[in-house]
Amino acid sequence: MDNITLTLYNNTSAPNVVRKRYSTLQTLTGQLKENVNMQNVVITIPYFANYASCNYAYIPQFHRYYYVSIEVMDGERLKLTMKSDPLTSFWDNYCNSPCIARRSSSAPNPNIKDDLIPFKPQPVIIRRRSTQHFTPSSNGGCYILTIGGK
Amino acid sequence: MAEYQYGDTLIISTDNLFFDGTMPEESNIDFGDSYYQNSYTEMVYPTDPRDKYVAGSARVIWASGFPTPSAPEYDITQGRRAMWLTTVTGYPNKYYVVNTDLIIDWQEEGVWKYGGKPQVSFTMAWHYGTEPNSLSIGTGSTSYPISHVFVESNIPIFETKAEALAYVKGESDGTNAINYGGESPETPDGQYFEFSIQWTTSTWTNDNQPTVSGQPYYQGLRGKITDGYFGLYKIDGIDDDKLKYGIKSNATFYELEYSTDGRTWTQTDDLPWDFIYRRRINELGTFSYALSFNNSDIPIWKDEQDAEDYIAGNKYIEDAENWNTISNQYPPRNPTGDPDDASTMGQVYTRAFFSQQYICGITALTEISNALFDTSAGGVWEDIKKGLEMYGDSPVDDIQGCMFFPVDLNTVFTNTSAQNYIYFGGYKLDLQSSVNKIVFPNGVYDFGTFDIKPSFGYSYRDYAPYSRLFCYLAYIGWVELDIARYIGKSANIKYYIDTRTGGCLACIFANGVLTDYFNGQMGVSMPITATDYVAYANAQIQTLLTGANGVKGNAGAMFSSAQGMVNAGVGAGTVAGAMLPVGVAMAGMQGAKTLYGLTQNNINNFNKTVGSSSSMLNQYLPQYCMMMWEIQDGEETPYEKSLQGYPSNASNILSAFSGYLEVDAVNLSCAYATDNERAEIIAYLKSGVYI
Repeated sequence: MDNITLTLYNNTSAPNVVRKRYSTLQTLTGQLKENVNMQNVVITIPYFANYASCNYAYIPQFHRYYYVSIEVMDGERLKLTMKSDPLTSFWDNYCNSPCIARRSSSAPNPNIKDDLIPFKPQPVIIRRRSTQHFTPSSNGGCYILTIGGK
Repeated sequence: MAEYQYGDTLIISTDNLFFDGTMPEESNIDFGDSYYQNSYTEMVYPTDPRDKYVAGSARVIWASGFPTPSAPEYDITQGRRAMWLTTVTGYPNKYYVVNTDLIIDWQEEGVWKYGGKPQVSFTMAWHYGTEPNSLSIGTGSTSYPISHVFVESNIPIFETKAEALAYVKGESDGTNAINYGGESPETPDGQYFEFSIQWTTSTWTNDNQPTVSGQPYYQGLRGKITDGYFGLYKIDGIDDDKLKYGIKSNATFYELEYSTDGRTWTQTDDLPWDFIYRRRINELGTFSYALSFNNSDIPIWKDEQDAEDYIAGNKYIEDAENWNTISNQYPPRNPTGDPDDASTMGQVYTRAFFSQQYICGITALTEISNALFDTSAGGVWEDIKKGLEMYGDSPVDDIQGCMFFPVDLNTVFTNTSAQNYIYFGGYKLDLQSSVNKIVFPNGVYDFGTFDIKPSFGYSYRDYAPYSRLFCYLAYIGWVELDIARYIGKSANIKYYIDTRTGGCLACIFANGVLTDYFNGQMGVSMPITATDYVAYANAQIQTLLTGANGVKGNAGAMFSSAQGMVNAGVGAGTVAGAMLPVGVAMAGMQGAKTLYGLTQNNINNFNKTVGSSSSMLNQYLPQYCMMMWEIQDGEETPYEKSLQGYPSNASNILSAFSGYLEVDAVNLSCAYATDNERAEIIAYLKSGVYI
């Protein structure tokens, strides 16, 4: 397989985003530069105008998305060095894998303390008085007189 | 649903603000390729940095002072706006579509300007799906990819346009909106359970080798047991040494679900089967059998009888064969098997026979004092003295103590008898005033109850060290309570009073259970004689020098004892000398005539308090009790949830989570990835990803 079809994208998402945001640049056919495995692919493609914004690609035959770095070869062709993005490529495959979450946006557990939340140095102080109270006063309270006697 | 008035802000926002893990700064809003488009196919970018919205969201202001809309059928004073779900041809997933009649005030600052033109009819749409697909906004043709958008809005969202219009026209109350924030049904309490079975159906042939074929049957069952019991029991009768399990249940379930593929779940009202095979290898034919059986919640009994006894409530779950492997899933069991007992306090029936105690008011005490010091001929003093020969020369010597309490003890002690006389020895002194003789000093003063409610819904922040509970107890001081023992309960403070020593015992009950108690001194002993005064003064000096907590007081190096003051040169004839004849004071403390509670050993405990103040000085402090909460104030940012999530410990499949996810453990099943790629995925999942 010498020629290979791929779609080139401009990806704006971080590597740890599963469903990446990207805009399509174009779909074209390239030539495999050398014998490579599906995880690391080197392809040459014809030069196209907005190649500088290309940083992501998809190769249908390999069922994979790739991070792309581009070298300009001779003004007419571009060399794409591509490394697979398994996190995005295989999501539909592994999305039903069971897991235990340590941290989650959608399934919080309020019983587990969160070490990532900083606290202000000044705590909130709340005071409540009792409804009853002692009543020492000029005519409040009492005296206990202890006397020897019957 | 609230109706909107002029000036109200309609909020439509999406939760994909942090989809790529970045957040645009307020002063430089960069949406990347996220933009909106108006119906004129004009690309519009927000240019006013005061417009605080980001990709996929809009803040729409409905303000006053603008011309009426051109469509008179939209009644802008009605105040109702609605959204509904719809699908667009070519995009199989649902959209939220806004249909609002908006008047946008273009002249005011801070208002979102939409294409520079006022819009009467404004439509926005977001893609609500799971694939990085394209999206059409409004009526424009340009699309851009955005995915997995959640819409949050204070506008009611309905399933259909008809429902939305009915609400807008006032024909419905909006409680059928899918984002109606009314009372949500409470999830009932119960014990959650789940077990999974790897089943298959196979055929045993003559060579006794099972041929695995067909699809697995039921692979799991889960739900919450809200009432009754549910258990498994072993059934003999299979030729090999493996057993079949029967099910015994009289349980009521909440959200009972079964799975046939281990991934998707179907809700059911009834149990889908009444037995499961553990394994079977003999006999011929086609049988369903389990390859493996995972259970961490359900008790397993050795036979059907035990299982029946269990569901009848005649056996404890701790007696199940597998209790030691499932006990972690259950809350801590009461090791005694008995419920909490409310505290029953004791009663005091100590009765004095050779001395009596009288509760006196000021008038009665004044009268008694006048009588005792009345040395006029024919006065009471002479008569008292006749009855007091055993006590020496002065009736005053018969007074063993006089102590002031800051509360009328007639309201505390219930066993008293009112009378208008007292006995000095055998002599009955009639009084014009009334006193109450204490028969049994039994009673309690109740300060009342505090509700100790959680601030954070019993999250970790409701407990120490994030929340702390302190209690001020009158005549005792500040103490810290273990908030975990009181939270969610009523704390009741009661004082038990010792009229002999003036001591008090403050008891704090949590829902009627005695949880803490502290000692203090509330009675102020009034010196009667010079001997008393020396003891009293010494006690005060000692208290000031060494407080309850060992802290030095401020008595300085003045004198270390009242006796010391005498020895320092205050001679007879002075006031001090008259009060403190040398040698008498010390002898008074150490001699046979010992006043009650004023032995040498008790001096340092005389009037001692936690607060290093005497009980008399404590009268300047608050006379009530107080609860004080000290709650740490968190600095949680608005991005906490979306950027780094919260501690979880939830177990589910990956697709059940959304937003930020960081896993502790994952059983990754991925068909096409290489080992390295699989390891890479796991590494990402453990360090945190955004779904």
